[in-house]
Formats: sequence, structure tokens, C-alpha cells
Amino acid sequence: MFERFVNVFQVLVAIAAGATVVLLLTVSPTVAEVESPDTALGSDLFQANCAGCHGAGGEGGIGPALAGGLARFGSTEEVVVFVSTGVPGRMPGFETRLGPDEINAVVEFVWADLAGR
Amino acid sequence: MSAPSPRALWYALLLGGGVAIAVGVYGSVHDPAGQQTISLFFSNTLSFKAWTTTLVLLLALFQLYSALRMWGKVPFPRDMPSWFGDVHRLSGTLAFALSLPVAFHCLWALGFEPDISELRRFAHSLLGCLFYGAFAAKVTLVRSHGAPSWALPVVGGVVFTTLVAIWLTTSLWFFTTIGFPAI
Repeated sequence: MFERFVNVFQVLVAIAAGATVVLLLTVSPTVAEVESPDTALGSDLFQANCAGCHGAGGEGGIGPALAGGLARFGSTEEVVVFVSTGVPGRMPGFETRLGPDEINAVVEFVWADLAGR
Repeated sequence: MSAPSPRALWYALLLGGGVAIAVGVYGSVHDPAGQQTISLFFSNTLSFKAWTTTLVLLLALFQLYSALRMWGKVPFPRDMPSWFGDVHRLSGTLAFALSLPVAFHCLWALGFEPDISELRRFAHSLLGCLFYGAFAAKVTLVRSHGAPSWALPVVGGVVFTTLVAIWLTTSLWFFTTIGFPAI
């Protein structure tokens, strides 16, 4: 009985693996996510919340330079998590100070306009 | 009983190599979406991935121990129940199933990191390809007959070692860089 259950489970997982391949080949990014970022909002939020440590142009200061940087991150998603949670003793987390849309806007601004990624 | 034949081993290695290359090619040519995918009850996809990979690693540790027991390399449990092999298969299948949404996000949203100066991401990209290639080879070897007796434990060891390295380059990085538990 248990062996039969494992056999059926393996078949289902094999189907799931096939479905994953199909999804990889067919799913496109959602339109909402690829719209151009609100760079004006992102710039304003950067100046208000980030420039004090990272410099008005992202050239660095108390915190590291952002202009031409962010090499450690592979996507804006990683930066959003980093900005949201911060690093204890090094950088505050902004999830309690800014809303998700605001964090996304400032990350898009830093990513595209300052870091040139 | 027939003598060990290298043919079954070559088939498994060719299949595994093909899978690894296919995964790497997809990750390289696909334009990364840069979006979140599944997160379940976690705050974001990266947290989901970090914890799911940790769960996969725990299942793999059980896989390793149960495999060692079945090969008689460890003494516990002394009397191996009849369902022990099925639990081994179930844990491995579950680990593979849990890895699918993680791999989906890695490939679809982030892609393959070709820049070797980005060592962590570059290594992780290679390890991800190697993992699925080795896994495919291992599953093929399990179901094939005639391969040398050392082949399965060696390929299984590669799967496990690769998974540990994947966990070190992602989940451990996440927990030490972003925070813990970061749910």
C-alpha cells in the first residue's frame, strides 16, 4: 500500500517537473512589472531617505557607493529585500518607513538610474 | 547475474550531462523576468526559496543516512523495516518536488550568471545545473541494471554534495546577509 502511494507520488512529481519545464518556456513577465518605473518618485524618496548615507548622486559616504555598483545583487528583487530588511548595525530596514510601492520605486531608481544596471 | 557494463553508466552520464547543459542554456538565453513568483506564507520569494532549500537539504540528509543504512554502512536502525526503502524514495521525490518552484524562480526570474567575478552567483548557477544533471543521472542509474556497483553511490554523493554547496551559496548567504529567520 505504502509502496503504491510512493509510486503514484513519483508519477505526480514527474508530471509537475514536466509542467515546470512548460511554464519556463511559456510564461511571460506580467505587464505591471515591466512598466517603466516612477523615477521621479524614486528620486525624491532616494534624496529623502538614502542620500544622507549614500550621497546625493549615490557616490557613497557613510554607506557604500551605489552609482555604478550593486554588483552583489542579481535583480531588483534582491535589492528590495535588502532595503526592506536592512543589515543590523550597518543599514536600517525601510519596510516600516516606506510602503512596498515606495521601496520598489526607490530601488528601480537606484538600479536603473544610479547603478546603470 | 550479468557482469557490470559501462553502457548503463554512460547512458546515465549522457542524460545527466544533457539535462545540465539544457538547464544552463535556458538560464543563459532566457531574458530574466526579475519578478517574484511563489512565496506561500513567506514575505517574499527569496525567503521562500531560502527556507525551501533548507528543507530540501534536511530531506537530502535523511536520504544520505537512509542510503548508507540500505548499503549497510551504518548500523541503525538495526532491523530495517520493509518500508524503509519506500521512505527513502519518498523523501527523495519530495525533495525534488520542493526544489522545482525554487529552480523555476532561479531560471525564469534570475537566469544564469556568466560573470565569474560574481563568484557566489556564478558558482550557484553552475551548481544548479550540475544538481539537476546529477539528479537525472542518479534516477537513471537507480532504474537501470548492469551499471558498476560504485556508480550509484558516487553519483548520489555528487547530488548530495552539490545540494550542500547550493545551500551554502544561497540559503546560508541569505540568512547571513539579509537576516535570520527572515520569514
